[in-house]
Amino acid sequence: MPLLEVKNLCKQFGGLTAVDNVDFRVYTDQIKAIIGPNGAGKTTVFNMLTGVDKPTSGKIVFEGIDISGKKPHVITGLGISRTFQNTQIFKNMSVVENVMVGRHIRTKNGMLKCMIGLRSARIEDSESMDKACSLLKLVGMEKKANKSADDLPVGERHLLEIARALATEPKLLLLDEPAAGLNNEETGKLAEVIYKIRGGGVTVLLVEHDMSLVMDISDEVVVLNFGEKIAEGPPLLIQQDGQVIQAYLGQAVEHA
Amino acid sequence: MVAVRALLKTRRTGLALYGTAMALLPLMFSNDYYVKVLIILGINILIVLGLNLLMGYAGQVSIGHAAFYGMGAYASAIVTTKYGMSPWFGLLASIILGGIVAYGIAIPTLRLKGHYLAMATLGFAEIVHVLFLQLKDITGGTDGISGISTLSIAGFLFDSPQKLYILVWIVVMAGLIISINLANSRVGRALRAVHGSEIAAASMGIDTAKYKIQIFVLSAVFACIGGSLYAHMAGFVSPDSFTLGVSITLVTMVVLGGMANVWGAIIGASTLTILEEYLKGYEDFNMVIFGLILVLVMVFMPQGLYGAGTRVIGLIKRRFKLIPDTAGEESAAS
Ligand SMILES: Nc1ncnc2c1ncn2[C@@H]1O[C@H](COP(=O)(O)OP(=O)(O)O)[C@@H](O)[C@H]1O
Ligand SMILES: [Mg+2]
Repeated sequence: MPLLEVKNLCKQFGGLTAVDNVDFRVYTDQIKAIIGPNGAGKTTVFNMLTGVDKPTSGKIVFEGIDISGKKPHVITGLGISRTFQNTQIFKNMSVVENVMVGRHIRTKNGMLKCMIGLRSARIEDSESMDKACSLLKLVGMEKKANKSADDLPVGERHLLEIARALATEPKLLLLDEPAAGLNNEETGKLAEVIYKIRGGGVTVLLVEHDMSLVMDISDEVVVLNFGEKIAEGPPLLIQQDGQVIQAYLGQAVEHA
Repeated sequence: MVAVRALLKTRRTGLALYGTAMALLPLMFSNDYYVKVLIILGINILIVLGLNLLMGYAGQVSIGHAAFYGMGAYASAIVTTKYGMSPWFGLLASIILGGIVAYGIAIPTLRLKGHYLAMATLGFAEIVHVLFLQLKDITGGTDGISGISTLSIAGFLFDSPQKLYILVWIVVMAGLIISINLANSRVGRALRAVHGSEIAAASMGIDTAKYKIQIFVLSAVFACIGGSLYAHMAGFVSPDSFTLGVSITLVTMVVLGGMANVWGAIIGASTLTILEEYLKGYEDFNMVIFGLILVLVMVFMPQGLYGAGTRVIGLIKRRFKLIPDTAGEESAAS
């Protein structure tokens, strides 16, 4: 059984079809990438997988459960977590607190217990703090734990979002252009982080423009163009696919 | 973990210092009037602590908290004068009424994203004010309600400002401890996350609607308790005390002190309560003056007095103590 199965997924915004009848599967322990020109519908797919957008039609099945149209916090609870292309860090918190927010769904103390400052709430809190610190270490940001998240450069915001997403203990991690704002050396480190994440038993679905990163680390690639899936397969085959080259060349010509 | 413990210790020291100072303050004044002002200050601090949790932490704006303040006061007044019940039932009725009404407003408005809450609370507060004026049989119309009995515990009457101040002090300290605990807890972080990015908060597994509703209800209950204490201190309530101007003053207190900081709430409430005292006799201008302060602070000092204060202290520290560190960083960078 695939970990995630997307069937005939469609999303329309008014007259615009952002995602058009897309199918794909993600298997446990895979690193899978979604690529495609700007506006192809990649982020919209992520938004539907995480409940931010409701699919116009189609189905999303995660571990055998139909999650299409469920609320974001419910889906996170089931084991899907994500980062954002336009980073959505909590600027009003420190770096480590950002990651601690990721522990929310795996911790329990409610309003009353927190108000009273019950011992159980404080113990849970220091556990969240420890977990958050070890995740910051994983992405190489432990030294910045007490900095304000607002002071981070773009690249580190993506890394912080990865740590925060991992704090929810996902089975499937969605990364939306995590290499944006990173230089070559940092991208290399990111690849290592992604391998480590997969090594820890988390399946990764990745949207990325950095082709060398995608071709390096992905087991399989899905290509979207104008909302439609135009190709799917291992990186080597994708690189030789006529339609894919067309889509990217077409874009390059337009831009020129 | 060492850092966390140090932080906890600072917090406790701050709390103990503040608590002691506030406990001793009335001894400086022989005049009852000033003690009454201190009670009003305590009540304002309580309401602003609650409003700060809502606005500063969760980022949800209420321009109608005077309505909850008023509902708390009227509930206490009506329960004690019309039904002759114990003032403690008045306080209980205030809390229950405020909680239920706040929940009723929160459910439809806080499920939506955006500034619906500000609009809804503004309209709600105006309606409540009209009800205070028009439901003459229950509220006494413009005359209000007088002869509200004082609170007592086991025969001990809080019948002088000095005695009532003790009770207000206890309630404010409880509100303060609750705020500090909450602010630095799992739920406090969830509230700040909702403020920081609602979409990311939801994607981290936070039921954003639930927490927005809960914190709105809690802040309303704080205001109702404040209203109830006010009614039993003053012995008299009328619609004039719960106008739109009061709502705006409360918002200004939150913003002036510095949002999302418990001590900021105290600084904001204290500064403006004292300013209001100085402006006695010019009440007509209050709206203008507080509105102006609100706008100026938002434009020039968005972190409020607390934020500005810590920044200045930081600058001074760096200037006089940490020169080698900064210089080292600079030379390393160059
Ligand atoms: N909330 C929205 N409302 C209207 N149009 C949208 C919305 N989100 C995305 N779109 C449109 O859908 C298309 C796909 O966008 P997106 O999924 O962000 O593309 P990608 O991530 O592949 O660059 C674009 O044409 C974009 O303008
Ligand atoms: Mg995108």
